[in-house]
Amino acid sequence: MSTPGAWTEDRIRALREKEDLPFVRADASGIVQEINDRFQAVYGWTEAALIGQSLGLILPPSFRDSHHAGFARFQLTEVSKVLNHPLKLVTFCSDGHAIESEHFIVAEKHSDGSWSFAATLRPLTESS
Amino acid sequence: MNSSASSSSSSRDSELIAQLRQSLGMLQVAFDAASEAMVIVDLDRRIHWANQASAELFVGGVPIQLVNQTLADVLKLRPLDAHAKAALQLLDPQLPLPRTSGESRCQVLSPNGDESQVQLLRWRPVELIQSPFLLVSFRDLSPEERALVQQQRFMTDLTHELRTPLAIVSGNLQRMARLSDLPQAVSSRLTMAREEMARIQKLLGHLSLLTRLEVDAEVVSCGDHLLAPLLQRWHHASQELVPNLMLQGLERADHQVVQADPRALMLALDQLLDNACQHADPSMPIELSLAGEDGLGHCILEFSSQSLDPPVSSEDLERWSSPFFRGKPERDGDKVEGPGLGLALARELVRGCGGILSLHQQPSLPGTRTIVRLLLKLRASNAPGAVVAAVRTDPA
Repeated sequence: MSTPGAWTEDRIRALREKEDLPFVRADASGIVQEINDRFQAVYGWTEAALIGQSLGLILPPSFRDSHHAGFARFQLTEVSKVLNHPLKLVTFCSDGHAIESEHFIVAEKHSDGSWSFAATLRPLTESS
Repeated sequence: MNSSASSSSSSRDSELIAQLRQSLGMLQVAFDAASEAMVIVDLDRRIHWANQASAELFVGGVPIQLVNQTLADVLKLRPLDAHAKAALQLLDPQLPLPRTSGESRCQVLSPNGDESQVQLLRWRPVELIQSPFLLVSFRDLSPEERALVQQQRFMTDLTHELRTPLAIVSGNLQRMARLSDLPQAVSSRLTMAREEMARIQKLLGHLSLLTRLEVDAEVVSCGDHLLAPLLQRWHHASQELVPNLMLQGLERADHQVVQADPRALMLALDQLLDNACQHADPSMPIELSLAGEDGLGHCILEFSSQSLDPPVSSEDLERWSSPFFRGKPERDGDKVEGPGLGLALARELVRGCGGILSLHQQPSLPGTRTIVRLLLKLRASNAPGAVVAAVRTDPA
Protein backbone atom coordinates (compact mmCIF):
# COMPACT_ATOMS: atom_id res chain seq x y z
CA MET A 1 0.00 0.00 0.00
CA SER A 2 1.26 3.47 -0.76
CA THR A 3 0.77 6.44 1.48
CA PRO A 4 -0.21 9.69 -0.18
CA GLY A 5 2.59 12.02 -1.20
CA ALA A 6 2.99 15.51 0.19
CA TRP A 7 0.69 17.32 -2.17
CA THR A 8 0.38 21.03 -1.50
CA GLU A 9 -2.01 23.68 -2.68
CA ASP A 10 0.57 24.84 -5.22
CA ARG A 11 1.05 21.38 -6.65
CA ILE A 12 -2.69 20.84 -6.88
CA ARG A 13 -3.01 24.15 -8.67
CA ALA A 14 -0.35 22.98 -11.12
CA LEU A 15 -2.26 19.74 -11.58
CA ARG A 16 -5.43 21.70 -12.24
CA GLU A 17 -3.75 23.68 -14.98
CA LYS A 18 -1.94 20.68 -16.45
CA GLU A 19 -2.64 20.21 -20.15
CA ASP A 20 -6.05 21.72 -19.71
CA LEU A 21 -7.41 18.41 -18.47
CA PRO A 22 -10.76 17.95 -16.73
CA PHE A 23 -10.21 18.52 -13.04
CA VAL A 24 -12.30 17.78 -9.94
CA ARG A 25 -11.64 18.46 -6.29
CA ALA A 26 -13.43 17.09 -3.22
CA ASP A 27 -13.25 17.56 0.52
CA ALA A 28 -12.50 15.00 3.20
CA SER A 29 -16.07 13.65 3.00
CA GLY A 30 -15.89 13.13 -0.74
CA ILE A 31 -18.12 16.13 -1.45
CA VAL A 32 -17.25 17.90 -4.71
CA GLN A 33 -15.84 21.38 -4.07
CA GLU A 34 -14.60 22.38 -7.48
CA ILE A 35 -14.68 21.38 -11.15
CA ASN A 36 -13.04 23.21 -14.01
CA ASP A 37 -14.47 24.30 -17.36
CA ARG A 38 -12.85 21.40 -19.16
CA PHE A 39 -14.55 18.92 -16.84
CA GLN A 40 -17.89 20.55 -17.56
CA ALA A 41 -17.24 20.47 -21.30
CA VAL A 42 -16.20 16.84 -21.45
CA TYR A 43 -18.58 15.23 -18.95
CA GLY A 44 -21.49 17.63 -19.20
CA TRP A 45 -21.78 18.35 -15.49
CA THR A 46 -22.47 21.94 -14.39
CA GLU A 47 -21.15 23.42 -11.17
CA ALA A 48 -24.73 23.83 -10.01
CA ALA A 49 -25.41 20.12 -10.46
CA LEU A 50 -22.20 18.76 -8.96
CA ILE A 51 -20.75 21.12 -6.37
CA GLY A 52 -21.86 19.99 -2.93
CA GLN A 53 -22.70 16.47 -4.18
CA SER A 54 -20.88 13.21 -3.60
CA LEU A 55 -17.98 12.27 -5.89
CA GLY A 56 -19.88 9.02 -6.37
CA LEU A 57 -22.11 10.87 -8.84
CA ILE A 58 -19.36 10.92 -11.45
CA LEU A 59 -18.98 7.14 -11.21
CA PRO A 60 -21.43 4.63 -12.75
CA PRO A 61 -23.87 3.34 -10.11
CA SER A 62 -22.27 -0.10 -10.06
CA PHE A 63 -18.95 1.47 -9.01
CA ARG A 64 -20.34 3.52 -6.15
CA ASP A 65 -20.27 0.77 -3.49
CA SER A 66 -16.60 0.22 -4.13
CA HIS A 67 -15.91 3.99 -4.20
CA HIS A 68 -17.70 4.67 -0.92
CA ALA A 69 -16.05 1.69 0.76
CA GLY A 70 -12.61 2.72 -0.49
CA PHE A 71 -13.19 6.30 0.61
CA ALA A 72 -14.34 5.25 4.07
CA ARG A 73 -11.39 2.91 4.31
CA PHE A 74 -8.95 5.73 3.49
CA GLN A 75 -10.41 7.87 6.24
CA LEU A 76 -9.61 5.16 8.76
CA THR A 77 -6.21 4.15 7.46
CA GLU A 78 -4.88 7.08 5.38
CA VAL A 79 -3.49 4.40 3.09
CA SER A 80 -4.56 3.94 -0.49
CA LYS A 81 -3.37 2.29 -3.66
CA VAL A 82 -5.32 4.56 -6.01
CA LEU A 83 -3.28 7.71 -5.34
CA ASN A 84 -0.46 9.25 -7.34
CA HIS A 85 -0.57 7.03 -10.39
CA PRO A 86 -2.76 6.84 -13.50
CA LEU A 87 -5.81 4.65 -13.01
CA LYS A 88 -8.19 3.67 -15.77
CA LEU A 89 -11.79 4.05 -14.58
CA VAL A 90 -15.17 4.78 -16.08
CA THR A 91 -16.55 8.29 -15.53
CA PHE A 92 -20.28 8.95 -15.54
CA CYS A 93 -21.50 11.96 -17.55
CA SER A 94 -24.46 14.09 -16.57
CA ASP A 95 -26.53 12.53 -19.37
CA GLY A 96 -25.82 8.96 -18.18
CA HIS A 97 -23.10 8.24 -20.72
CA ALA A 98 -19.97 6.51 -19.44
CA ILE A 99 -16.54 7.57 -20.66
CA GLU A 100 -13.47 5.53 -19.89
CA SER A 101 -10.93 7.95 -18.45
CA GLU A 102 -7.49 7.85 -16.98
CA HIS A 103 -7.76 9.30 -13.47
CA PHE A 104 -4.76 10.73 -11.66
CA ILE A 105 -5.83 11.18 -8.06
CA VAL A 106 -3.88 13.00 -5.36
CA ALA A 107 -4.60 13.73 -1.72
CA GLU A 108 -3.62 16.75 0.29
CA LYS A 109 -3.42 16.72 4.07
CA HIS A 110 -4.22 20.05 5.67
CA SER A 111 -2.66 21.46 8.79
CA ASP A 112 -5.80 20.58 10.78
CA GLY A 113 -5.34 16.90 9.83
CA SER A 114 -8.18 16.77 7.31
CA TRP A 115 -7.72 15.62 3.74
CA SER A 116 -8.88 16.90 0.41
CA PHE A 117 -8.67 15.09 -2.88
CA ALA A 118 -8.08 16.25 -6.42
CA ALA A 119 -7.95 14.44 -9.74
CA THR A 120 -7.29 15.10 -13.39
CA LEU A 121 -9.19 12.93 -15.82
CA ARG A 122 -7.94 12.12 -19.30
CA PRO A 123 -10.84 10.87 -21.46
CA LEU A 124 -9.97 7.71 -23.38
CA THR A 125 -12.69 5.92 -25.33
CA GLU A 126 -16.32 6.85 -25.09
CA SER A 127 -19.01 4.27 -24.42
CA SER A 128 -22.65 4.35 -23.55
CA MET B 1 -40.49 22.17 12.86
CA ASN B 2 -38.58 25.15 14.19
CA SER B 3 -35.01 25.98 13.15
CA SER B 4 -33.52 24.61 16.38
CA ALA B 5 -35.21 21.21 15.89
CA SER B 6 -34.21 21.16 12.24
CA SER B 7 -30.60 21.91 13.14
CA SER B 8 -30.60 19.16 15.76
CA SER B 9 -32.02 16.66 13.26
CA SER B 10 -29.41 17.62 10.68
CA SER B 11 -26.68 17.18 13.26
CA ARG B 12 -27.98 13.69 14.13
CA ASP B 13 -28.06 12.81 10.41
CA SER B 14 -24.47 13.94 9.99
CA GLU B 15 -23.44 11.95 13.02
CA LEU B 16 -25.25 8.88 11.73
CA ILE B 17 -23.63 9.24 8.30
CA ALA B 18 -20.21 9.56 9.94
CA GLN B 19 -20.88 6.39 11.94
CA LEU B 20 -22.06 4.52 8.85
CA ARG B 21 -19.00 5.70 6.97
CA GLN B 22 -16.78 4.45 9.75
CA SER B 23 -18.56 1.06 9.79
CA LEU B 24 -18.20 0.79 6.03
CA GLY B 25 -14.52 1.68 6.28
CA MET B 26 -13.99 -0.95 8.98
CA LEU B 27 -15.71 -3.58 6.85
CA GLN B 28 -13.54 -2.72 3.88
CA VAL B 29 -10.41 -2.77 6.05
CA ALA B 30 -11.37 -6.25 7.25
CA PHE B 31 -12.24 -7.39 3.72
CA ASP B 32 -8.91 -6.10 2.41
CA ALA B 33 -6.93 -7.56 5.32
CA ALA B 34 -7.98 -11.07 4.29
CA SER B 35 -5.26 -12.99 2.51
CA GLU B 36 -7.97 -14.79 0.54
CA ALA B 37 -8.92 -13.12 -2.70
CA MET B 38 -12.68 -12.49 -2.51
CA VAL B 39 -15.24 -11.13 -4.94
CA ILE B 40 -19.02 -11.00 -4.83
CA VAL B 41 -20.69 -11.53 -8.20
CA ASP B 42 -24.28 -11.20 -9.36
CA LEU B 43 -26.32 -13.55 -11.55
CA ASP B 44 -24.65 -12.12 -14.67
CA ARG B 45 -21.28 -12.92 -13.09
CA ARG B 46 -20.50 -9.19 -12.80
CA ILE B 47 -18.29 -8.30 -9.85
CA HIS B 48 -20.03 -6.10 -7.30
CA TRP B 49 -17.43 -6.17 -4.58
CA ALA B 50 -13.80 -7.11 -4.53
CA ASN B 51 -11.06 -7.02 -1.97
CA GLN B 52 -7.45 -5.97 -2.41
CA ALA B 53 -6.15 -9.55 -2.60
CA SER B 54 -8.47 -10.30 -5.53
CA ALA B 55 -7.41 -7.10 -7.32
CA GLU B 56 -3.77 -8.10 -6.93
CA LEU B 57 -4.40 -11.68 -8.06
CA PHE B 58 -6.58 -10.85 -11.08
CA VAL B 59 -5.36 -7.49 -12.41
CA GLY B 60 -2.41 -6.49 -10.25
CA GLY B 61 -4.33 -3.35 -9.30
CA VAL B 62 -7.05 -2.03 -7.02
CA PRO B 63 -10.53 -3.37 -6.26
CA ILE B 64 -12.44 -0.70 -8.18
CA GLN B 65 -10.78 -1.91 -11.38
CA LEU B 66 -12.62 -5.22 -10.98
CA VAL B 67 -16.05 -3.74 -10.40
CA ASN B 68 -18.65 -4.37 -13.11
CA GLN B 69 -16.37 -6.73 -14.99
CA THR B 70 -17.42 -10.34 -15.41
CA LEU B 71 -15.39 -13.10 -13.85
CA ALA B 72 -14.42 -14.26 -17.34
CA ASP B 73 -13.13 -10.73 -18.14
CA VAL B 74 -10.58 -10.85 -15.36
CA LEU B 75 -9.99 -14.51 -14.77
CA LYS B 76 -8.86 -17.59 -16.62
CA LEU B 77 -8.85 -20.82 -14.68
CA ARG B 78 -7.15 -24.14 -15.04
CA PRO B 79 -9.08 -26.49 -12.76
CA LEU B 80 -6.99 -29.37 -11.48
CA ASP B 81 -9.43 -31.77 -9.92
CA ALA B 82 -12.74 -33.53 -10.14
CA HIS B 83 -14.74 -30.37 -9.74
CA ALA B 84 -13.42 -28.80 -12.94
CA LYS B 85 -16.85 -28.68 -14.54
CA ALA B 86 -18.41 -26.87 -11.61
CA ALA B 87 -15.48 -24.44 -11.38
CA LEU B 88 -15.65 -23.56 -15.08
CA GLN B 89 -19.40 -23.06 -14.69
CA LEU B 90 -18.49 -19.93 -12.70
CA LEU B 91 -17.09 -18.39 -15.87
CA ASP B 92 -19.44 -19.65 -18.58
CA PRO B 93 -22.35 -17.25 -19.18
CA GLN B 94 -24.21 -19.99 -21.06
CA LEU B 95 -24.57 -21.97 -17.85
CA PRO B 96 -26.55 -21.03 -14.75
CA LEU B 97 -24.54 -19.74 -11.83
CA PRO B 98 -24.04 -22.48 -9.21
CA ARG B 99 -26.78 -22.41 -6.55
CA THR B 100 -24.83 -24.54 -4.10
CA SER B 101 -21.45 -24.20 -2.46
CA GLY B 102 -18.43 -25.88 -3.95
CA GLU B 103 -14.69 -25.87 -4.18
CA SER B 104 -12.00 -26.86 -6.60
CA ARG B 105 -8.24 -26.74 -6.84
CA CYS B 106 -7.13 -24.65 -9.75
CA GLN B 107 -4.52 -22.33 -11.16
CA VAL B 108 -5.29 -18.77 -12.13
CA LEU B 109 -3.85 -17.84 -15.53
CA SER B 110 -2.74 -14.28 -16.11
CA PRO B 111 -3.44 -12.56 -19.45
CA ASN B 112 0.12 -13.34 -20.56
CA GLY B 113 -0.34 -17.01 -19.70
CA ASP B 114 1.54 -17.13 -16.40
CA GLU B 115 0.17 -19.69 -13.96
CA SER B 116 -0.45 -18.91 -10.32
CA GLN B 117 0.38 -21.36 -7.57
CA VAL B 118 -2.33 -23.96 -7.11
CA GLN B 119 -5.22 -22.20 -5.39
CA LEU B 120 -8.25 -23.45 -3.55
CA LEU B 121 -11.25 -21.89 -5.28
CA ARG B 122 -14.44 -21.78 -3.23
CA TRP B 123 -17.87 -20.44 -4.05
CA ARG B 124 -20.86 -19.94 -1.81
CA PRO B 125 -24.29 -18.51 -2.62
CA VAL B 126 -25.19 -15.33 -0.74
CA GLU B 127 -28.97 -15.11 -0.79
CA LEU B 128 -29.94 -11.46 -0.41
CA ILE B 129 -33.52 -10.24 -0.54
CA GLN B 130 -33.04 -8.33 -3.79
CA SER B 131 -31.27 -11.03 -5.74
CA PRO B 132 -28.87 -13.89 -5.27
CA PHE B 133 -25.13 -13.27 -5.32
CA LEU B 134 -22.18 -15.58 -5.15
CA LEU B 135 -19.12 -15.12 -2.94
CA VAL B 136 -16.08 -16.45 -4.78
CA SER B 137 -12.77 -16.79 -2.97
CA PHE B 138 -9.28 -18.03 -3.75
CA ARG B 139 -6.57 -18.94 -1.30
CA ASP B 140 -3.15 -20.53 -1.46
CA LEU B 141 -3.09 -24.18 -0.54
CA SER B 142 -1.74 -25.09 2.87
CA PRO B 143 1.66 -26.87 2.90
CA GLU B 144 -0.14 -30.19 3.46
CA GLU B 145 -2.51 -29.57 0.54
CA ARG B 146 0.41 -28.58 -1.71
CA ALA B 147 2.28 -31.74 -0.72
CA LEU B 148 -0.79 -33.83 -1.59
CA VAL B 149 -1.08 -32.21 -5.02
CA GLN B 150 2.62 -32.83 -5.67
CA GLN B 151 2.30 -36.42 -4.54
CA GLN B 152 -0.68 -37.04 -6.80
CA ARG B 153 1.13 -35.50 -9.76
CA PHE B 154 4.18 -37.60 -9.01
CA MET B 155 2.12 -40.79 -8.88
CA THR B 156 0.36 -39.95 -12.14
CA ASP B 157 3.68 -39.23 -13.87
CA LEU B 158 5.37 -42.28 -12.39
CA THR B 159 2.68 -44.75 -13.43
CA HIS B 160 2.61 -43.21 -16.89
CA GLU B 161 6.40 -43.44 -17.26
CA LEU B 162 6.57 -47.05 -16.00
CA ARG B 163 3.95 -48.43 -18.35
CA THR B 164 6.08 -48.50 -21.50
CA PRO B 165 9.21 -50.19 -20.08
CA LEU B 166 7.06 -52.72 -18.23
CA ALA B 167 5.16 -53.56 -21.41
CA ILE B 168 8.50 -54.13 -23.20
CA VAL B 169 9.85 -56.39 -20.43
CA SER B 170 6.57 -58.26 -20.28
CA GLY B 171 6.53 -58.78 -24.07
CA ASN B 172 10.10 -60.11 -24.04
CA LEU B 173 9.31 -62.51 -21.21
CA GLN B 174 6.35 -63.78 -23.19
CA ARG B 175 8.50 -64.31 -26.29
CA MET B 176 11.11 -66.15 -24.22
CA ALA B 177 8.44 -68.39 -22.73
CA ARG B 178 7.45 -69.48 -26.23
CA LEU B 179 10.93 -70.88 -26.85
CA SER B 180 10.97 -74.65 -26.74
CA ASP B 181 13.54 -76.84 -25.08
CA LEU B 182 14.20 -74.49 -22.21
CA PRO B 183 15.82 -76.21 -19.25
CA GLN B 184 13.36 -76.86 -16.43
CA ALA B 185 15.14 -74.50 -14.02
CA VAL B 186 15.10 -71.68 -16.57
CA SER B 187 11.48 -72.33 -17.46
CA SER B 188 10.41 -72.23 -13.84
CA ARG B 189 12.31 -68.99 -13.20
CA LEU B 190 10.75 -67.55 -16.32
CA THR B 191 7.29 -68.46 -15.07
CA MET B 192 8.06 -66.80 -11.76
CA ALA B 193 9.34 -63.68 -13.52
CA ARG B 194 6.15 -63.51 -15.65
CA GLU B 195 3.96 -63.88 -12.56
CA GLU B 196 5.85 -61.13 -10.79
CA MET B 197 5.63 -58.95 -13.88
CA ALA B 198 1.86 -59.55 -14.03
CA ARG B 199 1.67 -58.57 -10.37
CA ILE B 200 3.65 -55.37 -10.96
CA GLN B 201 1.40 -54.46 -13.88
CA LYS B 202 -1.70 -55.15 -11.83
CA LEU B 203 -0.37 -53.05 -8.95
CA LEU B 204 0.54 -50.27 -11.33
CA GLY B 205 -2.94 -50.37 -12.85
CA HIS B 206 -4.48 -50.22 -9.38
CA LEU B 207 -2.14 -47.44 -8.30
CA SER B 208 -2.95 -45.44 -11.40
CA LEU B 209 -6.70 -45.90 -10.91
CA LEU B 210 -6.46 -45.13 -7.19
CA THR B 211 -4.60 -41.88 -7.90
CA ARG B 212 -7.11 -40.90 -10.57
CA LEU B 213 -9.98 -41.65 -8.20
CA GLU B 214 -8.41 -39.38 -5.58
CA VAL B 215 -7.93 -36.45 -7.95
CA ASP B 216 -10.77 -36.93 -10.40
CA ALA B 217 -14.00 -38.41 -9.08
CA GLU B 218 -15.47 -38.19 -12.58
CA VAL B 219 -13.55 -41.34 -13.43
CA VAL B 220 -16.65 -42.93 -11.90
CA SER B 221 -19.79 -42.17 -13.85
CA CYS B 222 -22.85 -42.93 -11.75
CA GLY B 223 -26.36 -43.60 -12.97
CA ASP B 224 -29.47 -45.43 -11.81
CA HIS B 225 -29.19 -49.20 -12.20
CA LEU B 226 -31.26 -52.17 -11.10
CA LEU B 227 -29.17 -53.90 -8.45
CA ALA B 228 -30.25 -57.51 -8.93
CA PRO B 229 -29.15 -57.91 -12.58
CA LEU B 230 -25.81 -56.25 -11.77
CA LEU B 231 -25.10 -58.68 -8.94
CA GLN B 232 -26.30 -61.68 -10.93
CA ARG B 233 -24.08 -60.75 -13.86
CA TRP B 234 -21.04 -60.34 -11.63
CA HIS B 235 -21.79 -63.57 -9.75
CA HIS B 236 -22.24 -65.50 -12.98
CA ALA B 237 -18.90 -64.26 -14.37
CA SER B 238 -17.02 -64.81 -11.12
CA GLN B 239 -18.38 -68.19 -10.14
CA GLU B 240 -16.62 -69.83 -13.06
CA LEU B 241 -13.30 -68.98 -11.38
CA VAL B 242 -14.46 -69.22 -7.77
CA PRO B 243 -17.03 -72.02 -7.47
CA ASN B 244 -17.52 -71.46 -3.72
CA LEU B 245 -18.86 -67.94 -4.33
CA MET B 246 -22.49 -67.67 -3.20
CA LEU B 247 -25.01 -64.92 -3.87
CA GLN B 248 -27.65 -64.55 -1.16
CA GLY B 249 -30.69 -62.42 -0.36
CA LEU B 250 -31.29 -61.34 -3.92
CA GLU B 251 -35.06 -61.55 -3.38
CA ARG B 252 -34.66 -58.36 -1.32
CA ALA B 253 -33.21 -56.58 -4.36
CA ASP B 254 -36.38 -56.94 -6.39
CA HIS B 255 -36.77 -53.67 -8.37
CA GLN B 256 -34.17 -52.00 -6.15
CA VAL B 257 -32.37 -49.25 -8.07
CA VAL B 258 -28.98 -48.01 -6.90
CA GLN B 259 -26.91 -45.03 -7.95
CA ALA B 260 -23.68 -46.56 -9.15
CA ASP B 261 -21.22 -46.95 -11.97
CA PRO B 262 -21.61 -50.64 -12.91
CA ARG B 263 -17.97 -50.94 -14.01
CA ALA B 264 -16.77 -49.42 -10.74
CA LEU B 265 -19.05 -51.63 -8.66
CA MET B 266 -17.96 -54.78 -10.53
CA LEU B 267 -14.31 -53.82 -10.16
CA ALA B 268 -14.78 -53.20 -6.44
CA LEU B 269 -16.42 -56.62 -6.04
CA ASP B 270 -13.56 -58.16 -8.05
CA GLN B 271 -11.07 -56.68 -5.58
CA LEU B 272 -13.02 -58.03 -2.64
CA LEU B 273 -13.20 -61.46 -4.25
CA ASP B 274 -9.45 -61.45 -5.01
CA ASN B 275 -8.79 -60.48 -1.43
CA ALA B 276 -11.08 -63.18 -0.06
CA CYS B 277 -9.50 -65.83 -2.30
CA GLN B 278 -6.08 -64.83 -1.05
CA HIS B 279 -6.84 -64.76 2.66
CA ALA B 280 -9.91 -66.91 3.32
CA ASP B 281 -10.19 -70.62 4.00
CA PRO B 282 -10.75 -72.12 0.54
CA SER B 283 -13.00 -74.84 1.93
CA MET B 284 -15.51 -72.28 3.17
CA PRO B 285 -17.99 -70.37 1.01
CA ILE B 286 -17.48 -66.73 0.09
CA GLU B 287 -20.80 -64.94 0.26
CA LEU B 288 -22.15 -61.79 -1.28
CA SER B 289 -25.51 -61.02 0.28
CA LEU B 290 -28.01 -58.24 0.22
CA ALA B 291 -28.61 -57.50 3.88
CA GLY B 292 -31.41 -54.92 3.53
CA GLU B 293 -31.47 -51.14 3.85
CA ASP B 294 -30.10 -48.78 6.47
CA GLY B 295 -33.14 -46.48 6.50
CA LEU B 296 -30.93 -43.59 5.35
CA GLY B 297 -31.23 -44.16 1.64
CA HIS B 298 -28.66 -46.93 1.31
CA CYS B 299 -28.92 -50.61 0.59
CA ILE B 300 -26.47 -52.84 2.43
CA LEU B 301 -24.36 -55.40 0.64
CA GLU B 302 -22.20 -57.73 2.70
CA PHE B 303 -19.25 -59.58 1.31
CA SER B 304 -18.15 -62.20 3.79
CA SER B 305 -15.46 -64.83 3.95
CA GLN B 306 -14.07 -67.05 6.67
CA SER B 307 -10.50 -67.70 7.68
CA LEU B 308 -8.89 -69.85 10.33
CA ASP B 309 -6.96 -66.86 11.66
CA PRO B 310 -7.92 -65.13 14.89
CA PRO B 311 -9.60 -61.71 14.61
CA VAL B 312 -7.29 -58.71 14.26
CA SER B 313 -7.44 -55.60 16.41
CA SER B 314 -9.97 -52.96 15.38
CA GLU B 315 -7.06 -50.57 14.56
CA ASP B 316 -5.52 -53.08 12.18
CA LEU B 317 -8.92 -53.82 10.65
CA GLU B 318 -9.39 -50.11 10.01
CA ARG B 319 -5.99 -49.98 8.28
CA TRP B 320 -6.64 -52.97 6.04
CA SER B 321 -8.13 -50.64 3.48
CA SER B 322 -4.99 -48.44 3.49
CA PRO B 323 -2.68 -48.97 0.52
CA PHE B 324 0.00 -51.62 1.06
CA PHE B 325 -0.96 -52.23 4.67
CA ARG B 326 0.96 -55.31 5.78
CA GLY B 327 -1.04 -57.19 8.40
CA LYS B 328 1.14 -60.29 8.47
CA PRO B 329 3.81 -61.72 6.17
CA GLU B 330 2.13 -63.34 3.17
CA ARG B 331 4.94 -63.80 0.68
CA ASP B 332 5.97 -67.41 0.98
CA GLY B 333 6.33 -70.23 -1.50
CA ASP B 334 2.58 -70.67 -1.93
CA LYS B 335 1.33 -67.14 -1.56
CA VAL B 336 3.14 -64.82 -3.94
CA GLU B 337 0.80 -61.92 -3.31
CA GLY B 338 2.02 -59.39 -0.79
CA PRO B 339 -0.01 -56.58 0.70
CA GLY B 340 -1.61 -54.65 -2.12
CA LEU B 341 -4.15 -52.08 -3.04
CA GLY B 342 -7.26 -54.22 -3.48
CA LEU B 343 -9.23 -53.06 -0.45
CA ALA B 344 -8.04 -49.46 -0.82
CA LEU B 345 -9.12 -49.48 -4.45
CA ALA B 346 -12.48 -51.10 -3.60
CA ARG B 347 -13.09 -48.45 -0.95
CA GLU B 348 -12.34 -45.59 -3.36
CA LEU B 349 -14.49 -47.13 -6.10
CA VAL B 350 -17.43 -47.45 -3.71
CA ARG B 351 -16.81 -43.93 -2.45
CA GLY B 352 -16.73 -42.72 -6.06
CA CYS B 353 -20.25 -44.16 -6.41
CA GLY B 354 -21.32 -42.17 -3.36
CA GLY B 355 -21.24 -45.24 -1.12
CA ILE B 356 -19.32 -46.34 1.95
CA LEU B 357 -17.16 -49.41 2.48
CA SER B 358 -16.37 -50.65 5.98
CA LEU B 359 -14.71 -53.73 7.42
CA HIS B 360 -15.99 -55.87 10.27
CA GLN B 361 -15.01 -59.14 11.90
CA GLN B 362 -16.78 -61.58 14.14
CA PRO B 363 -15.55 -64.78 15.73
CA SER B 364 -16.88 -67.85 13.98
CA LEU B 365 -15.97 -71.40 14.70
CA PRO B 366 -13.51 -72.22 13.44
CA GLY B 367 -11.67 -68.90 13.07
CA THR B 368 -13.02 -65.53 12.04
CA ARG B 369 -15.65 -64.23 9.64
CA THR B 370 -14.60 -61.04 7.85
CA ILE B 371 -17.40 -58.92 6.48
CA VAL B 372 -16.90 -56.08 4.05
CA ARG B 373 -20.04 -53.96 4.23
CA LEU B 374 -20.95 -51.78 1.26
CA LEU B 375 -23.58 -49.09 1.61
CA LEU B 376 -24.82 -48.14 -1.85
CA LYS B 377 -27.01 -45.13 -2.47
CA LEU B 378 -30.54 -46.02 -3.46
CA ARG B 379 -32.27 -43.94 -6.11
CA ALA B 380 -34.29 -41.28 -4.30
CA SER B 381 -37.66 -42.88 -5.05
CA ASN B 382 -36.42 -46.14 -3.47
CA ALA B 383 -35.38 -44.61 -0.20
CA PRO B 384 -38.14 -44.74 2.43
CA GLY B 385 -37.35 -41.28 3.80
CA ALA B 386 -36.96 -39.59 0.43
CA VAL B 387 -40.61 -38.92 -0.32
CA VAL B 388 -41.18 -37.46 3.11
CA ALA B 389 -38.13 -35.22 2.74
CA ALA B 390 -39.30 -34.02 -0.67
CA VAL B 391 -42.70 -33.08 0.69
CA ARG B 392 -41.18 -31.26 3.65
CA THR B 393 -38.85 -29.16 1.54
CA ASP B 394 -41.38 -28.31 -1.14
CA PRO B 395 -42.04 -24.58 -0.74
CA ALA B 396 -45.50 -24.92 -2.28
